[in-house]
Amino acid sequence: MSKQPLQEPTFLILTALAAGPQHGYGIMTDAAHISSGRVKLRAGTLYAALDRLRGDGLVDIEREEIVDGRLRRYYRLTPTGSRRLAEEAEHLSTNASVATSRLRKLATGLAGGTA
Amino acid sequence: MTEMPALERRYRRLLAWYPAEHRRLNGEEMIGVLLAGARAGQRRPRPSDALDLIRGGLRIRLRSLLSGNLDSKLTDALAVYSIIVPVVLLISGAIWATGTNYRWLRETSNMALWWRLQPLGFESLYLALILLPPILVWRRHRRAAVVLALVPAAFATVGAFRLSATSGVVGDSASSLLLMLQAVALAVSPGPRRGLQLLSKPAWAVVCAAGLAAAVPYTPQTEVFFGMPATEAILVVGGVVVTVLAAMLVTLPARVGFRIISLLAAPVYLYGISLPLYGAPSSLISYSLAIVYLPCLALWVLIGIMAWLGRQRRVRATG
Repeated sequence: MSKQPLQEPTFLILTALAAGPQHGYGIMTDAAHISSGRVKLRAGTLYAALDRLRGDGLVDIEREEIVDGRLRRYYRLTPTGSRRLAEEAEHLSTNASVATSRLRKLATGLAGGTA
Repeated sequence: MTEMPALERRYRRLLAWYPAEHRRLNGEEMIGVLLAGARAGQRRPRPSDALDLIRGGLRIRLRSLLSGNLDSKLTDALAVYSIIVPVVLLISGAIWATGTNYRWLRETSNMALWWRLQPLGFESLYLALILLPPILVWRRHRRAAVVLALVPAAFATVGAFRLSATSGVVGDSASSLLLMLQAVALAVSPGPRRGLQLLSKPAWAVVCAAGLAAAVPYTPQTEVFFGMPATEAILVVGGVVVTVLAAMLVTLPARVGFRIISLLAAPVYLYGISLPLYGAPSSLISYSLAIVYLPCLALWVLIGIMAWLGRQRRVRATG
């Protein structure tokens, strides 16, 4: 099962929704929080990603509300979506562990002066 | 939430980059999110936000194109276009062939639109290549229709790609766009059946009038201009073109009319500057070939290919 890796904004959106259904602005602020302010998710990127995620069945609409006279939609992760996020998190975690341990060896190797 | 009408107006303008369907379903929600992220008293979108919105809109448009979905108003316009082109060519060609009302056509035939649009030199073969494809689409042989329609388009394109600043080349570029668009229209539009639904009787009258107008050779020598100086004659020709286009706008459903005009704008302009009547300087011709013809051709060929592939994918998926 070789799927395309998720792009970071998409990953952050799914991660934000893993905490529970959220509306667009909530997803944006949560994504900034998760990435410690590193990734600024903007509306254009958000809705292009949501369009794709909904098309692929990873995200669904939870409910709609009228707030301040304007429509607000809440999105949720589907079971397919949470599976996909879990797979991706697993891959990233594995890659990150390998990178970290190799870097540690590299650092001790340099310190010890071995070839 | 505080009202920010100026900012909201600007955001709505940016949402025009999104497909109409997406705007209808998500537009209000997006405005809400955009305004929620705005500073107090902000009057203009941040350039990065604006760019991001435009990119998002284009991405969504591209995705729907690749899955075979074109905006329905555009496909309606293409469906009407796929009928207009053969009808106009048929009428102007018939007039040319009989040479009845326009007897000076045969002497000055190389200036008539009809002559311009038959790069092959064999009138009946050319007529067949223009008339058959829509009929084939009608009879559900779309692939054959597109292949046939591409033959005259290819010839005109080869002529245009000589890319020298002559009236012949820019005339060929007009034909190339006109005929390539026809091939695209046959490939991705709902077809002549839909086009016929949209063409009211007044619209048919306008199309026939356009055919008659297209049969006239626009040179200073013809009797049509009664020895008018070139500048006046240009006004007459310009007036005819504007009238026909305006009439089309009035007689067709609103959104379709606008799109047909924008489809026809580039070929009509290119054909206009190819007329010896106008006497366009070669610099204008060069710029027009580079800035008008080539980008339009590239755009429509790309859209046509992507929509065609998307359509095939969709047809295969639904079996």
